[in-house]
Amino acid sequence: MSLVLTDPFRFGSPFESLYLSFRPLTDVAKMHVNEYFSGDPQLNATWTASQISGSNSLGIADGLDGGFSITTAVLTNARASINFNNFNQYTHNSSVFIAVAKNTSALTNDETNTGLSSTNDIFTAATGQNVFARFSASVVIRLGSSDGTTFSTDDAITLSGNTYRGIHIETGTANLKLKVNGGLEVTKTTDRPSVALQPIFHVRASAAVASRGQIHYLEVFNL
Amino acid sequence: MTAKSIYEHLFPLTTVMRHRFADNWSGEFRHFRWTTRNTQGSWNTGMSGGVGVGWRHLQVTALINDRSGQDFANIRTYAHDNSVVLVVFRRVTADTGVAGGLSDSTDHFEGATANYAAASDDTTRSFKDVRTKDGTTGSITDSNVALGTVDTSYKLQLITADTKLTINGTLKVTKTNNLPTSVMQPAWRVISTTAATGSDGNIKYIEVYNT
Repeated sequence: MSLVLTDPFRFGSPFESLYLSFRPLTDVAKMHVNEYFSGDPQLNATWTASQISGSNSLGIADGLDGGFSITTAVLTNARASINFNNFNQYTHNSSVFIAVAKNTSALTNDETNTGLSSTNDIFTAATGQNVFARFSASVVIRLGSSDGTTFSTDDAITLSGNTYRGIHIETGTANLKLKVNGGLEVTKTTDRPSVALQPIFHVRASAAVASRGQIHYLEVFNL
Repeated sequence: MTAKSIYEHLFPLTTVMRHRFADNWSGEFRHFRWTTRNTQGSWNTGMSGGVGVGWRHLQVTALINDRSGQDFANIRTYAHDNSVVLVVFRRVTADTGVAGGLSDSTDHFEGATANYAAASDDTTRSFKDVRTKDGTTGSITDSNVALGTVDTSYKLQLITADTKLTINGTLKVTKTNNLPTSVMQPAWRVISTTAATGSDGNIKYIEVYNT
């Protein structure tokens, strides 16, 4: 696991190890990663930055709760992502993805996508299999997915994606579930991925105007 | 127990977590998120092979106020009025000050126009202290905890009204004057308090989060 101790000052609790604070030793931990996106002007060795279309700006944002920021080029369908360089270690049907992210673009159809993907891009069915939460300047957050043949999104609540929201996606054998700020909003049964996936944070411009997304926490683990 | 996510270990999903990080300074020779600065003088810096030492700064030159530390390259994401710092550091040598906290300056807790809040063990004082600066005026408030050369845990809690310093789990200082006024980055540093060489300090844990 790529974990860090979160609060040694809580000790006095019965747990002497981080492992044991989550599970007994009889429960063998599966793959698990978390990332705070704090402090580094560059990405650490875990992440790969992908310029998919256009010359986009990627880096840690200087500002309160800044996190990692992608600002696209001024180009229709400009897009970039950070990902695990196609090391696809998380299951399509038994994993959890958690993130705190937002989209700060002005255009309704601009997209900030974060979730799990088989490739470094989230755009059409041709760009791979995936499951993701989609933030935009419109007043809904969506749960999207692709099985490699068909790409679709289901709307979640009427809740703006342009302030930080807590996202929780659970992949199961029968469906994909999206919680926003703790409330179950979407249960999606169509167009689900069927291959191993990697974490991804991805921003796309819908027109020749820069689009921006930010993320300051991400966590993924297999169940 | 047991939420299986770290997130839910800290908060329910109904709480949107604010910005945070933690660093153990264990194992990597170069830590990716930190910028190391020798602001004055020459220093040897890096991970130490000693048991439990963590990241170490050792002075090579021999001037008073030689100083060396680490920061986030002015990526300032933590609030002056709603944040917490947990840090474990150690002053190793006499004639040395070690401090850790938040600052908006790459000169950490010395800059003329800096905003900062830091816990400190400094041999120019009689006790461990909390020091703050509001961009213009800086001041220091001592605790009643004697200086020492053993690992010590410090907690700084920054709110609008004050900055609180807790040492090894006991609240020691509530400081209300010259509080920082701008967004800041994590920082820590070692400083020489006399014109001698060999000032030595180390850090093994820091965690910062907005509340």
